[in-house]
Amino acid sequence: MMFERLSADARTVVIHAQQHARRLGVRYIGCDHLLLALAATDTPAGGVLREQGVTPERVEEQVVRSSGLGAAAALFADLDRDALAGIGIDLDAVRARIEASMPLESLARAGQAVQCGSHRARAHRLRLLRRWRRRRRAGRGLAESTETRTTPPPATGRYRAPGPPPDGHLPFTPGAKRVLEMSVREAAVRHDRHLGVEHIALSLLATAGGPVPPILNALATSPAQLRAAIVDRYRLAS
Amino acid sequence: MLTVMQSTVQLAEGAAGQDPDVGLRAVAALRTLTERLELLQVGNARKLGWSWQQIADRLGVSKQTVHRKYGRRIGRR
Repeated sequence: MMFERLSADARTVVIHAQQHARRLGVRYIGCDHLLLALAATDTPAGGVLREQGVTPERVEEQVVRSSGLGAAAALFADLDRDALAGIGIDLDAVRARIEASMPLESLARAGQAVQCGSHRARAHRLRLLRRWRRRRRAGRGLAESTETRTTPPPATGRYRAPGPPPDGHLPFTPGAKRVLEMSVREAAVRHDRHLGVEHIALSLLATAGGPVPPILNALATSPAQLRAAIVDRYRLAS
Repeated sequence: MLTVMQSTVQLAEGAAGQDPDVGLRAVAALRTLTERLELLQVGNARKLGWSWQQIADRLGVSKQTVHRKYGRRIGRR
C-alpha cells in the first residue's frame, strides 16, 4: 500500500487530511483536504505555501465556502456551479435555502446516498474492505498500520460540521488518490529516495482539475507559481 | 426549489443559447441538481411517512418507478 512508503511527515499530512474531512463533515478525503493539511505542516513545503498566503485558515475558509459544511456539502459539492450560474441558478442560494428548511437528518441521509450511490465510490469501499480483511488475516489491521503507529497531534481548524463526525476510514476521492500516486513520480523525477511532504505538494499542485486551482486563485496565487517556489526551496536546501 | 422555477426564462436562454458547449454543460448541471433535489425530497417524504404512491403522484411517475429508483438507496422508514 501507498501509505507504507510515505515519510513520517507525509503520513501526518494524510492523517490530518482525514481529520479535516471528518471535522468538515464529509465522508471522503479530497484534494482540498490534502491542501489544508499541507498548508499546516511544519515543513519547508508548508512554509512556502504560507509565505505565499496559502495559510490553513484561508484555505479552510475557501473549502467551506465552495463546498459547504457537513451533510449538504455532499449533495452539491461536485455540481458545475459556473454552468448553473450561466443559466441564472445561484447554487449557493439553493443550498442556503435547502439547508435552512430541511431537517439535518434528511440532508445527512441524502448526502450519504449521493456518496454511496456513485458506482465508483461503492467499488472503492469494496476494495478497501477486501484489503482490510486481507490485512487482518495477515495478523495486522489497517488501523494499526495507519493511525496508531505514529500519533501526530490532531488537526485543528475553525469550522466544525454539526452532528456527529463521519466514522471509520474515509476513502480518498479519485482525484486525491491520483495525487498520492503521482507523488511517487515526483519523487522519482527528483531522484529522491524518500516520499515526503514536498512530493505530495508538487503532485497536488500539478493537478489541473479538482477543487485546488479555484481555491488558489481565490487566494491570489496559482498552482504553477507555488510549484516553482517549492522546487526552488528544496533545490536550495539540498 | 423556487430558485429553480424562477429561472426558467434564464434557463431557456442558457439551454437554447448559441454555444453548444455552454448550453449542454448547463443542461447536464441542471439535471444533476434536479436529481439531487429529488433524492433529498423523496428521502424526506419517506421519513415523514409518505407512501411511495403519494410521492409518485407528486413527481408524476408510477409508484414502481419511484420505488425502483429509491427503495434501496433510501431504505425502510
